[in-house]
Amino acid sequence: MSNIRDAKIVIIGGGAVGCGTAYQLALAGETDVLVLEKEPSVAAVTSAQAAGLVGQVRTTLERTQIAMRSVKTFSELQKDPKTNPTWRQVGSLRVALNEPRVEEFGRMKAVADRAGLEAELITPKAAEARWPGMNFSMARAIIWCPTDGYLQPYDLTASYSAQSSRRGVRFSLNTAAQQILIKDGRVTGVVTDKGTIQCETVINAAGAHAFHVAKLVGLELPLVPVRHEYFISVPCDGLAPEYPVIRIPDVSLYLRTDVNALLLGGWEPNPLHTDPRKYALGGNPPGIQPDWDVLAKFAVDLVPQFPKAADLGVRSVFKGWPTFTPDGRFVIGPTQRVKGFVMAGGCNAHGVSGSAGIGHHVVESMLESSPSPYVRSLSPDRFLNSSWTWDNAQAGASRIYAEYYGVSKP
Amino acid sequence: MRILIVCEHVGKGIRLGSRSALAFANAVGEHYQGSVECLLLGHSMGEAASDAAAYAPVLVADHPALANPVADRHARVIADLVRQRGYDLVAAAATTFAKDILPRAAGMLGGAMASEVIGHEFRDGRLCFRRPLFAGAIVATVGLRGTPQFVTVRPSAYAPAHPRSERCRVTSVAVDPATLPMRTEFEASQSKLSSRPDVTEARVVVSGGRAFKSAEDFERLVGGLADKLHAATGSSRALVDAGITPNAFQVGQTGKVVAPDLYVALGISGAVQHLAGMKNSKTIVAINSDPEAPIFEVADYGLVGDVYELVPQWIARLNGK
Repeated sequence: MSNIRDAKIVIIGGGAVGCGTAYQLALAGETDVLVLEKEPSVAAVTSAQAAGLVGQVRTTLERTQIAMRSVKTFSELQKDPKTNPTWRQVGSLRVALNEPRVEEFGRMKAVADRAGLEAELITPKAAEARWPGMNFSMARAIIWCPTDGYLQPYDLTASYSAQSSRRGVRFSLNTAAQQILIKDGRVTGVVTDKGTIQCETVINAAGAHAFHVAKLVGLELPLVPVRHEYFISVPCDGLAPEYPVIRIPDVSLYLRTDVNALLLGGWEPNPLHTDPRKYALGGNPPGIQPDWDVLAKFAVDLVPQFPKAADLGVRSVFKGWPTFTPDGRFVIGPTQRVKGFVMAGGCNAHGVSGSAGIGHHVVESMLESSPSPYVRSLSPDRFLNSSWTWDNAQAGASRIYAEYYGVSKP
Repeated sequence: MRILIVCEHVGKGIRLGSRSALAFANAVGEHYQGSVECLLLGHSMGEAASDAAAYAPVLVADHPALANPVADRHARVIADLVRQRGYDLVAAAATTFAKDILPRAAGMLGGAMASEVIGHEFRDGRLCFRRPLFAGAIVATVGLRGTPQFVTVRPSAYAPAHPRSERCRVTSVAVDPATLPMRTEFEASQSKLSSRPDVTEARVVVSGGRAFKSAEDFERLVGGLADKLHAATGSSRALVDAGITPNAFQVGQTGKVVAPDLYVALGISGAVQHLAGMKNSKTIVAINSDPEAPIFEVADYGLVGDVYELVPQWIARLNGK
């Protein structure tokens, strides 16, 4: 491919995070950027398997702001009639079934108010008007966020890619990074199966291979791929794509409509995880078979709110290995160890929805002379300066996954 | 092994799906050195019977009471015939017609049934069937206990049978209306007037993606080209989502999985979910304005350009202009 030319910045990985970062770099005026993707298409592996839910109501101000930035970006991208993320701003309903959760909702509402995010507590009756057929009678509290919604992850990534191409960013598909060249403690280039590229900066957005790419420069990071699955049902009468996204954290479920079907997923306890040391940079994480015990439990757990869930056939199972970190925080920014090496990973299943905000933080970490304390706190160096073992990293990452919808501490 | 294929027919001939069922029967029949016959049920089926005779010996059950697909009558005729003539295996294409009728006939005879079969194999001499469960997420291999066995076969799983070198005989079978259950009366049939084949059955599929901005444009360009190529129409998820095409058109991971001889992808970028539904097509032709679109990775022939400009030219060329 003719796109293989030297570049100032090389991004390894053409998923939502890699392309989202390319887009933010382009917006910041950095257009001498080359994105390498080993697959024939962007968003070919984990990103396209994502559910595409975008939620802004969070327990911390920083995470709320990241999500708000993402929403702003999606709305901007949606204006392009030719390539857009199919962003549907249908709003979201977050449902509390017990008292600790009600208290947490109070805190989330306060964070939303501070961030200037529109969110209100509404009655079960008001929620039912927004999502007919769903039984909200056991809800103890419901947060309605009108600017939330969902998008198509592949479309989003393609949209980032189109917008950044227009600004001069280059994409080289079917191109696998194999080595990173370092001289005097600085990144000087990337060796690929299509040739060697000279560059000043490498951004690691390699998803389930981010561990291996970091290893190329001698960094060992606890990036743990954890299996996630959800399903789309057969068509179901009475569902419309305009219905809001629903999260029921007390039973660890999320759902939305997909055309006229139900998309249902959740965060099961004791998730399957894998050890990235077991496969190589040129290899793949283990194949995933649908785990019917897990998927069936999602449906069973939804029955009290939506009895039809008991009988809805499964049309397709989506599955992937999003990477989790033992502290549940992103791994973003440069490392002190090797100049010019920047992380954009460990997204804890927020890669797609957070991509715009994450991309922005990556750019901030690279270009700002004094990045915010929050961005600095995401540095990969936190794992280099502290001792950790793979056993506790995997246990920690699994816990973060299983408690994705856990009640946050006050 | 005696095998009977229940053929569906439309006017002049048998449906393409029934030819796939015949291909399945030929493969099984060959293995057991058995015989294959086909059965046409209906009224005034001269041309269809003559078409069917190109593929296998034909039994024609012709009676005004069978003019419309009323399940209990058709099932009774099939069950009586199977009992009298001792068929071991009865198969049909997995269509709405067969789904209604075959299980009923199987029940009348205390037979065993496997539906939606996508493949077969012989295990220690025993015929086993592969059938998808959970929308294809898993494939079960099943054997049937007891006889007769009833099977519906997915048309996309077997290439349609070719005509035999010699024409086969056509035999009429008697239908005694007194034996037929008349509890169901046919009132009316409502169907969308579509001259195009079903997307899973067609040998050529013309599919449109988000480049098409309205249902009218889709019909004029995708539909127009499909008619020239005697093709079915399909679409990407994006158009179904936008309400431009109906659900039944969707090709992809959450839609239909197709493997036609020719798949024409118009204005489809080729997201992995779409590729999952069509990448096994024998020849893929793609038109897209974006030269980097991933559809070109799987396409045998690719053309970079605007479908609004190129498709009318293609249609005009097919019109001989």
